[in-house]
Amino acid sequence: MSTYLSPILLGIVFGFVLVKGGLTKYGNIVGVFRFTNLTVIKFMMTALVVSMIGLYTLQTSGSIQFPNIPGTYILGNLFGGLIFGVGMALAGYCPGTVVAGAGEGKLDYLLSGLGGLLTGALLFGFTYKSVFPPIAKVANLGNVTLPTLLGVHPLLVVALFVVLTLLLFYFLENGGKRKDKLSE
Amino acid sequence: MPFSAQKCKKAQSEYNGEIHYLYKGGLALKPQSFFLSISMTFFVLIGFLVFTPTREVFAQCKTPSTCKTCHEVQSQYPVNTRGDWHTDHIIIDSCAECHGGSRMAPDMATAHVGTTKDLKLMAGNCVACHCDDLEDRFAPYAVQKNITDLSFLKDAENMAVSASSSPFNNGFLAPAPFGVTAPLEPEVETEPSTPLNTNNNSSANLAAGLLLAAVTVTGGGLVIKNERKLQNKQTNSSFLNWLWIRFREENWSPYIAGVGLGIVGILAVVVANHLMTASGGIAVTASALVHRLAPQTIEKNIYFRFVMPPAFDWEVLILIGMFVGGFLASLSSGTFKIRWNQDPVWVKIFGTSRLKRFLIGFISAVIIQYGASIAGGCTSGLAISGGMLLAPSAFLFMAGMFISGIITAIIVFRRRY
Repeated sequence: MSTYLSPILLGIVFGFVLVKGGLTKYGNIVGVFRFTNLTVIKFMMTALVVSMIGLYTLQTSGSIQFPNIPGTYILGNLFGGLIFGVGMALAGYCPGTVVAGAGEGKLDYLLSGLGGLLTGALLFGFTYKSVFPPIAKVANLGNVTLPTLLGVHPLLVVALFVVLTLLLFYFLENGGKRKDKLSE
Repeated sequence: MPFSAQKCKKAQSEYNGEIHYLYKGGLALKPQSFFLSISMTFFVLIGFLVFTPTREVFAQCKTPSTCKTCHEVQSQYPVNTRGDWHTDHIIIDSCAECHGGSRMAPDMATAHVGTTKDLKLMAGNCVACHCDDLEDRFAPYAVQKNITDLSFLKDAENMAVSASSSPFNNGFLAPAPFGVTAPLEPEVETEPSTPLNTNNNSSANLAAGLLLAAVTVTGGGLVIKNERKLQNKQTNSSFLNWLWIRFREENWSPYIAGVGLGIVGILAVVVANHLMTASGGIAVTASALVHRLAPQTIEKNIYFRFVMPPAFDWEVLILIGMFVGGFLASLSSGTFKIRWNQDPVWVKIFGTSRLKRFLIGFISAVIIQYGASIAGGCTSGLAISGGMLLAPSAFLFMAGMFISGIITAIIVFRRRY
């Protein structure tokens, strides 16, 4: 039962904080790319830092083992990100916020968002064989993490990341954004 | 005035034109029934998944094998970099499908029972997936490995045909047809093993430590300097005060919401040994649709058969949870309303046309899912889940996302960027 319950409960909290954090608003998402509204950056970096500290502390103390780490294939990760960014800046959503936003009653998220995502998945599935393997083979480093790649103790990397993020937050809070030309 | 008209007028004035068109043209509750039907469709789609029998093989394929935990994640005897043979097959995580052994075993000894490196034995397993063109496929590897006698491939094909006429129903991950399960001598690993966390290069550690100290000292100095400057001007309140005001706001501070997501990310790993994903669930749902509606097309489709087999598990359940979570969040803040979203920024650029929103939204969503599938995850599944494990892929993805996102925003907003 817990195999069904835990993903649903975690998903509920996930969708809840996505909506509360303002991730299901077009203006907030596109504001990141215009440097006029950096809510999403703050949200994402906080989530990263918190979970990074928690997971690496648990892992170095031997309490948990990491699940399958997302594979690094430099060309594919970068190229996929480049494609992804175009869609994200155009419509102002990503797969997670489409589902959470649909729950808010937003019909554009439910119809165009979910419909488009499913169509995209079908398109990728039927072109997978000719598109994906050639890309994934270029500069494939496998399921590595930065600490193993660099040969540095993981907690040092985490600490460096945390300090850099806190600095970023500090300057974001103290006027680190552009003037919104739309509000003129 | 008839009662219904009175009611209508009252509704108009109360809702200030938001819901008044419900009563126009005699089609009462139009948007509600519309939303209801759409939601029903959504859950019927999910229902397809529930009643699609999940084959054992699919369930096994879906979960990442424990082979990767040691071989790749902990870099003990990694094979990803070891020739085309492995890089070609690592995509579908099929170590055990060729070498035998049990892919979900918790410890090394049980995982390696029945493993083999004998090509003649493994050829029987190749046939399960590559039933038509095994020899053509093997040819490039044969050149690399200096294998000239390929007759064992023919034997494997013939035996597979006599064992079963349909490899799809019987082959993949079925008990290996060539006695691979017989226990072999445990192999002696000759490669130097470098488990995680003992791989500490002292000079690299020193450099990272110095960098950390330098950033902390200079960054901290900058913060203190700036804070003093601000306090002299009497323009800013103290940090704690600021925190308290943020905390009491109705809309959550992104930091508080971010902490929530961070805790969810930790819990997912601790409770279920999984990462949070979103695009994966979409792909599994699409796969389930294909399996259901056009089963003949997936016979030769590696993606829907092996990479994203339909399974009513983690990824799909998270999506259902997220839908409910979004609903609860909007209920809690009183913002739930069935509507076409009219974001003020969107309206200033694109206007209020619903068709425009639908078309741009649809095309963008296609692009988003395609890009996420190439990169190996979306903002949830790769940027956040990979980033929290410090996977380089997450940061590459974020870099790509920002570069093209900024360019797109410049093109869309032009002078108003």
